[in-house]
Amino acid sequence: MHLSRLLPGLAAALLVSCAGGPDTTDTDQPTEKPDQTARERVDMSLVLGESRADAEPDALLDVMKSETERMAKAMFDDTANPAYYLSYQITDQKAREITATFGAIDYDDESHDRTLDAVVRVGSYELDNTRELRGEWFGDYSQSGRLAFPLTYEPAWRTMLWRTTDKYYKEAVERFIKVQANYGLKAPEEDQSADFTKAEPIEYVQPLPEYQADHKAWRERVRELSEIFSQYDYIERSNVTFHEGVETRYQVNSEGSLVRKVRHVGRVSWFASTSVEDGMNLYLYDTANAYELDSLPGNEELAPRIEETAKQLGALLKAPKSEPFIGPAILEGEAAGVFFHEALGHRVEGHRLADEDEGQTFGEKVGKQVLPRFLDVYDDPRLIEASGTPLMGHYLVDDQAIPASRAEVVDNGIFKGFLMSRTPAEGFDSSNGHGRREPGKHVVSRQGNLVVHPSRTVSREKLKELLIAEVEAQDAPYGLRFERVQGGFTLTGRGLPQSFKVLPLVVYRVYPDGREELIRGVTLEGTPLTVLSEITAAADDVQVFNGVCGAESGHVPVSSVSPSLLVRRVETARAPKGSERPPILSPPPLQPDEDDVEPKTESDENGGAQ
Amino acid sequence: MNRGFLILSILLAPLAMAATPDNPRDSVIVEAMQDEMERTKSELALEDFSRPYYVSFSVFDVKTVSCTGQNGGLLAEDRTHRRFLRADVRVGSYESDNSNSQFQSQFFSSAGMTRLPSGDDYHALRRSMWLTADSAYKAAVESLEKKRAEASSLQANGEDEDVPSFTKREGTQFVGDQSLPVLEDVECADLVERVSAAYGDHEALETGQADAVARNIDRYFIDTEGSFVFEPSSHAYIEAWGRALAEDGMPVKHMFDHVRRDFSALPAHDDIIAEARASAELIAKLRKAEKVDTYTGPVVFTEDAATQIMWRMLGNDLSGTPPPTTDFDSGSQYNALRSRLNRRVFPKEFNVVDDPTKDKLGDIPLMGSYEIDHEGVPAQKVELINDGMLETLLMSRTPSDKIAQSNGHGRGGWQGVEGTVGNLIIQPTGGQTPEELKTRLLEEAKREGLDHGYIVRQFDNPWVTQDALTSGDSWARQSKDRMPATVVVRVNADGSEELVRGLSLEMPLIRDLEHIVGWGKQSYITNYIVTGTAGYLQSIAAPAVLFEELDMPAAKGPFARPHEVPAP
Repeated sequence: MHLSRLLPGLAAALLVSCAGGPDTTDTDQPTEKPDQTARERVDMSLVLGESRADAEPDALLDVMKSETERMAKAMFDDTANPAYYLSYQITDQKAREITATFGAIDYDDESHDRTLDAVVRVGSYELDNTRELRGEWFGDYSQSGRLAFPLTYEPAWRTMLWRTTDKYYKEAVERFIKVQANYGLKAPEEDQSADFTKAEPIEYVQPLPEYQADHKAWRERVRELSEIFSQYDYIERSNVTFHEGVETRYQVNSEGSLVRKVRHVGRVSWFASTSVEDGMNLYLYDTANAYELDSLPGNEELAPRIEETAKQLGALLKAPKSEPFIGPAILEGEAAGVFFHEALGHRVEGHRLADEDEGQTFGEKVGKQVLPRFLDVYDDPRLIEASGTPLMGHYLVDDQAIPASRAEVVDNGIFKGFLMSRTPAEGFDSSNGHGRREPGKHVVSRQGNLVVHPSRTVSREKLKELLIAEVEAQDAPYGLRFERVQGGFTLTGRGLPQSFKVLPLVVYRVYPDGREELIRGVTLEGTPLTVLSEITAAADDVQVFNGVCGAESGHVPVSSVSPSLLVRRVETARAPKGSERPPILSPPPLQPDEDDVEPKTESDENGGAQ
Repeated sequence: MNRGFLILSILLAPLAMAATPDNPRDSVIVEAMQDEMERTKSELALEDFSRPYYVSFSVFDVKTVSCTGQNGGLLAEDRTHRRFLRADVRVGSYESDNSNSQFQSQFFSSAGMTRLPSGDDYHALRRSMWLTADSAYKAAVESLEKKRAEASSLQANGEDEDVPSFTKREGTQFVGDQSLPVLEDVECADLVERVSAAYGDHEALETGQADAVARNIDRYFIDTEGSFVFEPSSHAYIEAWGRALAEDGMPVKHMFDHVRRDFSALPAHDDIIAEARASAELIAKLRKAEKVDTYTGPVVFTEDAATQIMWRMLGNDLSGTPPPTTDFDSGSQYNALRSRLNRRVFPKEFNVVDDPTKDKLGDIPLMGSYEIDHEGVPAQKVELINDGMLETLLMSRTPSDKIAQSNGHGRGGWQGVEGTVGNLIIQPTGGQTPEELKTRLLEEAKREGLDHGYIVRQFDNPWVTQDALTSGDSWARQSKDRMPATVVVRVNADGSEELVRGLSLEMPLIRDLEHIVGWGKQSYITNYIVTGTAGYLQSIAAPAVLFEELDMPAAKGPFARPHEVPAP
């Protein structure tokens, strides 16, 4: 049973038109594919990267390596129940986060910590202690949980590695004995794959990064930006946050891999919320991300975007409530990306194939058509940006020391394969570098940058015309246009509804005369195979959704890249609604004894139809 | 534990002090508090419902520096600045209002409590106060209406019918003048590294950890009765512990701590490190100590255990705040002391006071002192037990059927304010030297046909940061009211002493206090920091005590196997 969730946050949308692309609705014929690298930049630093010998000595890596060798020797030589694999991953996280609200610093925090993840496997690659104990409610493979790891003092590092390894080894031996019994007693498994794939060792050491940003300047910048929301009296809560995070993951395993990979991210995000008389809470947020902090937008560029968020919230406040709807819709690129992430992406995570509790929607679909012929889908964590927008799902080496690679999922509408970690499945016995985790969780296969690529496109204007034609053909009162979304979630477990839900932020009704009307309180839901088969056209734009996805291996940053899509039939439902009244009193004045500085009211703002 | 005999230095005047506002009444925070409170009192009302009759705003401005070290390595070093607001918005009247009802539980609603921006911006502060007061008012109206609805269907119990909800009083004016330490100067990383290394580097030990914290709190309080309180305070502590495994796999532990007003007033770092080394040596001895069987008989609690046992038995139940009204009884509201008012609870030689106005006991600082409680009531010395008789309890402004007025002990965090311990001082008359107490222990043992007795010096889980009113007790209840004893000495018939391990204490009941048959002359002191909103401190001073007969069950195995992988 599994429920994965693409969390609100980190949403970024940049409309960038795509070069070329015929203006046609011929959607069901394979065509020649345009050159994708014209729009997507691939990080080649792994290919060109430093070797271990090029890097400065690293005391932590050296300790990890020597302790791996020492402890592997002790555990692998145990004649009764030898271990066969040992790995350590230490995640060093430094972050500075400054948040301001209505012109005041809310908090300004700096943090630095480390977490240890260790894996001890007893048995063999074919059958080991990690295998599921079928028919048992308890006794999951443990070896998880956030273990704080010292920042300093080499003897403390060695002690922590030793204590953890010793504990995990004893647990692994005990569990392997249970696994052997369970394996012998239960009916043969549907998937007879091994428990772990062998892999060639790699060495990849990136330079250690330092903070790039001028944090003092950012304090003033976010304070100034947060003041913008003070001008709108209908906004109840708001903030603007600057975040600089430097994450270094050190990985060593008994196969000889040695990795030091760095993720350095800068982000400005903003949030505003209000409430409607009927009790519905409304909120909007937006984000600007960057791998190079110098490329974060300046305040002169951010201020209009924040004002736009504030105005759009005012428009939402006046918008009518949605009603359940079945009919045609345009999913703009950001919404389409999340739609694919939920409906398809989670169902092609390869570890689900070996899990008999999983729905395995695409288990029998290899070589069969699952999408219109004009669509390809792949996941390539090596991509660092698409159409100028950084992709937060980017990485070069996964959390099992496997180089990331492009995983072909759908080609010309035909299902090709899965995102694989080192947990193999029948017919897919090697990793394609998609083993990921949040520190403290077990690695499973996860999405990185999921890309939906159309071989035939139309202009955005044409896509709207096609939507209106579909509205008329279905004799529907209107169609929908999903402009922005906060995320979504899905169920993949067997015995549960194979459904997904996308949680929109900004949705318009599109009437046959072309008029658009903003609505509030809508969710998009459905079952994957049905909805995927209803896609009829794609626009020539490319949009990016950057988010954080939560699943079995915790929260990991992901991206979805997609053009806007026309879907012949979607189903929407009413979003959950609160029951609290809006604040009784109006907001306080901006200054003491100052009544002449009046914030903008909802009626001052233009909203609604566009 | 902050043991009296280990304290090497008393509060030292800090060398550098942080600037406090010349007149806190002129600060932006207070201006925003006053303006929004005035609006809340005069304008906040839902149609068909009454306006608030009482409003108070409490702001806690908290600056913290903290470090954690493990086995000599630094785990974390943090510096934070946070502000919290508690809005107490009451509807109804002093006689009958929304408070102290099951519907008011902060556990189910965040109404009334929120974080404020840490920046001094009038508009941003007021906006947060506006929304917090709005939520608190709506929750208060809802709570009052539910309370009235429930009252209409329940039989009056006769006890609480005429008890007002809240005591009326004149506003308090108080501006504290304590200068706070400069936290920017606090460097705690090196200390926790060195202290934890004293454990981690010991070959017999598995783990050692040290935590150091320095914190300044500016507390602002205003209410519609005209109160204005500004009370700056500070505290700093170091706590450290070590752990090892005996050969049979049983864990053994020991810890110590020091709490002061100022980081620079902590004992000299070299002395703390020496103490950690001594603690590690004790753990190494505990590893080799005999694991003993279940015991029933006389027990002495001394040093840390002297205060720990009294804290666990009295800390919660000395609160006289009545439990919330409810139509169900989960059993958790039972207070064994409340039902013993004006009755004997201790031997007649025992006197117990709670005195937040006292800042030292002898030369030893009491950290639970304060001047004004969280409801604007000046702290008072309360004589709780005289000659063994329980005479009163610790009260907030929520009266009970037996005690009508606050005695300046209303403090609290997210869970709301109630009568709480400040400086609890247990001082029996007379008393014996440790040797005399040991002799008495053996006499009692012999009388029960035993050839030995036990002295407990420390219990597990004695964290200075332990939330003494909540997590401490829930921990005990989860473990069926047992306290694992970490440092226990067996006293043999010939007077010889041996370290032993593996005993827990089956928690005594209040009635067992009357069966204290011996006590020491010397007081031991423990300081607790109640976590939550801002953290406030409580102290307990108690002598060693000899209970006539208690149960100490032995720890049950099997324990984890010893290490399979050789240590580095």
